[in-house]
Amino acid sequence: MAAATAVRAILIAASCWVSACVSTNTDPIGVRAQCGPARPRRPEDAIVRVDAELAPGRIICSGVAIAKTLVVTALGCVSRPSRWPDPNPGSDPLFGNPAPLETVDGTSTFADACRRDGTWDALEDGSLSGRYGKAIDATALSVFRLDGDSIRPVSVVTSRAASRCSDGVALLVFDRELDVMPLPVRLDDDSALDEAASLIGYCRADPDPLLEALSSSVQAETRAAGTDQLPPRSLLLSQGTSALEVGGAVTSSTTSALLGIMMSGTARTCAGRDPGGTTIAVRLAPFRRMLLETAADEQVELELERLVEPVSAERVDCQ
Amino acid sequence: MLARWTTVLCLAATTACTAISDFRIHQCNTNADCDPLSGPPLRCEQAQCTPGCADNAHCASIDPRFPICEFRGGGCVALESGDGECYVNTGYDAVAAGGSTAEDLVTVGAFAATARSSVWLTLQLAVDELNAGGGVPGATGTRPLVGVLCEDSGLAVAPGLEHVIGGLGARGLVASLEESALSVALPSTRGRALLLSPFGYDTERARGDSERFAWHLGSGYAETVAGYAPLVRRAVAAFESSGGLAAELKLAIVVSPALEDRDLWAAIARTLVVGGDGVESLTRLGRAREFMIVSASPEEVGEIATYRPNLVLVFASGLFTLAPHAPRSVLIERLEEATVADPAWQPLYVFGPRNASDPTLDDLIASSESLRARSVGVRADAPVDAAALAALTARFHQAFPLATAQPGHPGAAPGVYDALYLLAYSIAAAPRSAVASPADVARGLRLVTQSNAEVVDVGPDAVGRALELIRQGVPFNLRGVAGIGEFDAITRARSGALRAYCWTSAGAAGFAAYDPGAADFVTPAPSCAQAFFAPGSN
Repeated sequence: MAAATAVRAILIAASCWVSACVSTNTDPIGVRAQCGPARPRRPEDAIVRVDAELAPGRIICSGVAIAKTLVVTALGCVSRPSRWPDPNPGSDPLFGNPAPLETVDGTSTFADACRRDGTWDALEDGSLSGRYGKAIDATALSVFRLDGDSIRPVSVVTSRAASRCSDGVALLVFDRELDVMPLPVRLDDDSALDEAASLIGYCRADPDPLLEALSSSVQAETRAAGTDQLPPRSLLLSQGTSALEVGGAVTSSTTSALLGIMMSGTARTCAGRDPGGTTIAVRLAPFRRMLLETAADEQVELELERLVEPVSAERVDCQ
Repeated sequence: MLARWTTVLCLAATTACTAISDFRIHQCNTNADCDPLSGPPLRCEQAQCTPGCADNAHCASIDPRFPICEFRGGGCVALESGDGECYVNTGYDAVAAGGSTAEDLVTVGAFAATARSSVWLTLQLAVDELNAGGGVPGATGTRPLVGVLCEDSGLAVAPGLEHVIGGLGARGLVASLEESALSVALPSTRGRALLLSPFGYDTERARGDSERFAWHLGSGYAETVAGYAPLVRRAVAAFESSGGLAAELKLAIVVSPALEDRDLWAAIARTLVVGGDGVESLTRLGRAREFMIVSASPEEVGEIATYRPNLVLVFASGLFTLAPHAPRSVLIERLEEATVADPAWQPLYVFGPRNASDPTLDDLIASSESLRARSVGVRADAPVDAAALAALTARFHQAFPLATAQPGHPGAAPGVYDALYLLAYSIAAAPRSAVASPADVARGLRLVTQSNAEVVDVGPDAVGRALELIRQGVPFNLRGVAGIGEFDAITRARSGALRAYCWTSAGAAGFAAYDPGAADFVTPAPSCAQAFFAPGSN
């Protein structure tokens, strides 16, 4: 708790400093951030569709803008392998193909499919691991808004998770602004257990794209160690989701801040989502360095979560 | 707590834009209190934020991408390298090793074509077995074995080596790298790690000081040279007996840009051209043409098909420069496709020692009755122990049922399995110091491969005995699936009997010993490679 408190204090102080010193271009920690303005949020304004063109085939996911030129998505959305000839030696060519992964898409749970000897390092028996390998080249990626044109990122930064059973996020970096309203991010490491949340991503892509926010709550969470049900650094959320929603946002119902990125979705259609089911998301806070450093490199500001009003002695807005 | 911190920090921040430039937290209760959000890690020591990480858990909490603390006070590093040269690991338990640093791990770097390769899965199996047996004993207690896999292609080798050796402190490497990659990469290791190759080495190359810590489970490739003349002679006899199309020898030499391929062919060419060993000069028998294969592209394959050889000597083991991760069999597969369009062309193949233990090639040849009849391999390393291989295969299948259920999966790699056990035991047996040098590991290697000492088998059943002997300081002789230890002190390799082998439908089968007196191979028992050993029977 003390650690989380210190981190939160530093983050808030950092944001205050940047806000107070608006004319200054440099800062002591290399981070540009600001306290979020008090304005209503529509998480759907931050959601994009992420397409990865493979040869053959493509992966379609969701993504979340956290700055006009930064989109965060699930690592699996930008890391699956291409087929033969295989330029991605770390990946598994069978990953995503039907036979061994029936368990993932079928009736078994994500945990059943991924867990091996209490760890989350490998899928099934370890020989068909769903390993990510290197990220798909940025030139093979595109993001779309509901009615907008596609735009390609110029680079991809990843959290380097080993397999689809691990936690992992990817940041897509753009050289021009997207037509989005970025979400603030929660980067402190406080518990979100029992917190009300919204899940939002594309549950349908073509020809009639559909974005739909679903009410949820945080049922469980993990830190450095995974459990029987969850990879490390993850959230377990009530409400089942669909495959296309992977990479979509888990936001706080209170502040609209981005808490995590969905990394599992078992239904194939919007209608197939199970209200009594669950969704696994990777928490964003453990990857704060990756987010902040990338933002600093790209000279963009991340908007940190702004608490509308203190909800306890430990939730104080710096303003 | 937060309110107090925040108030103080925000007051400072909002009232002193310039003063904040010197903003530092000096007082702390936990490591997390010192998290600077960017830059090198700070740990909490005596209530002061001090440069450097505390342990692996501290690094993981700062940034999960860099979960390994080099040493207390050091930096945080990733198990995978930044540009992806090293991309998979096994044996690292983040929770169990949270309170440790890289110095408390026994890290072994491995180089292989893919993470799904037989090489890597075999290494995973060996790491799991050794860790289940208690890990590797050392001066500071028992340490878990961690394997890190890196790409084995030319340009990736040097940064991969630097990552596993420099970043992760690996003192042992398992690699079957080509000599050209080694010659570039090994000097950069500056004697910091011992490399153990499951395969052989280029005898022709001068083995410089930079390769002092490169050891090979296989033999020098030149030890196979004597085997080529009788095989060419047999091929010529077959062509002459069949008459017609293949009466004239048209020899295709397939090499890769790797020096060892060209060195070996040069040595063989001398025996074929000079004659005097029962083989007529090629200049009289027919024509020979050398083909440099870089990527097995349609153009390269087409060039060979146009030449239409009736005997192909294959030295390129498939680690082509431009497509290092292509199956090693792709060239043969494409040539055979070309023969479908021209059924009268049925070339014979002789596969060199760098093709030995190539599971993909084994599978390709075993699957074709016609190809089995026309293919023979030459090698001069220690023969695989059939019973030990069967046991290893059973464990491999049990560990990786889904992988081995895939059609054509090659199964375990005996040399890699042996190499990992040898390295682990060598590190354990190395003179006790905080961080074993490669010279120490080499001394350990001699202790666990000592002639006339107790023989201990590789595998999980004998881990306890091996570690017991190591703790007692008693040398032993590790018997691997691919032969017993006993390295030559000069060549740092293991010699084996020259033999030809063929393929049955079940895979590669060693069968024909070389008789130096007759300068020929003893007639084989199995009915394969008939084109060489029973012409006219197929």
